[in-house]
Amino acid sequence: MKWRYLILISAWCVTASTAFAADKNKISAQLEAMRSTVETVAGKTEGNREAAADLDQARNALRYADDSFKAGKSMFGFGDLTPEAEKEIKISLDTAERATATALSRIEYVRATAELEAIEKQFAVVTGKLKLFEERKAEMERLRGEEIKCQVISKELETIKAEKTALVSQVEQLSGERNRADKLKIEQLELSRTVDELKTENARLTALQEKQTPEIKTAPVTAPMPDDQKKTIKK
Amino acid sequence: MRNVIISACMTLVCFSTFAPAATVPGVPETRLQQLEQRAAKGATTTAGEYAKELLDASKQSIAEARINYSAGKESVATRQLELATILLNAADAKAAEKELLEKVAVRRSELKKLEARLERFRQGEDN
Repeated sequence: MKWRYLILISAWCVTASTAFAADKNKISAQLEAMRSTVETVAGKTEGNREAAADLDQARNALRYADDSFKAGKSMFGFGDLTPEAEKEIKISLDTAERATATALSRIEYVRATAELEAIEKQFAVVTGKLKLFEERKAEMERLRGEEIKCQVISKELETIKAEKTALVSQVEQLSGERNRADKLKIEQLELSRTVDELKTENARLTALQEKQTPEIKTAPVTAPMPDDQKKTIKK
Repeated sequence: MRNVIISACMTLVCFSTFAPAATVPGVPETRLQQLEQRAAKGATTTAGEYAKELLDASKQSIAEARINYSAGKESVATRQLELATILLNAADAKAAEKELLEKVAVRRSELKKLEARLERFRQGEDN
């Protein structure tokens, strides 16, 4: 009879442990997978202290999960996990997963920071080169503007030269006319002086004629007067 | 013999059911309030924009921890508080990461535009 009871109890224990083995294996597999993930991520921290701290938290959570897994088995390890232990394990797994994800975020943050630094450096280099090109472009535009101005000035200069040539010729013409006018003035002055001399001579001759008139009246005419003298007298 | 076996079974059942619950109940109200305040503050920062789901999950975890503390399930509640803390850290880290990645993407795009412009200068197209 007692053997029968023992066999029955053993059979029940084996059945129960087989029935719940699947769940336990699943949890064990999850824990192992998480542990493996944590260690994989740990290989990528490269001295990132914050990420390492997150992974320590993940490891702690996994330890809690292990403890809960070990302590939460009913029936001296043959029974199912208690609901509370299951919940603790689930929470600890979530915690480990989130902590690992946080570590990955921090690793990615450091990588992105390095990338941003590289981009900023390249940005500065490219901006510097662009500035040079833009300065060159502005200089070229300024020079083009200067060239256009020069062309305008050159045309104006040509016009001014043509005007100057015209003015020079006018000046020469006027100078010639002025010289002629000066000569005419001099001639006029000379003529005026000649006229004055002639007038003086005329006056003198008139006076002389008037003196000689009584003598002429008395004396006979000996010779005729030359024509030029006659004209002078008329004047 | 029958009595011994029944007693052994009862003892086993008792141990497996009540052993994890053998904790002292208590509500670390200060810690809960600190985490709630941190979650509320996080919602007003970039974490609220970039990692809302993590903040929501942390709030839920805090709420569940409060319930479990009240119910005397201190061990579960402690795990939930830890989870809430990790979730808040994760929200901050994720928000910082996303914000930085966006900035990197924007600057990368700007750099590409500048490089394209520089190339046009070099080719003499933009002179």
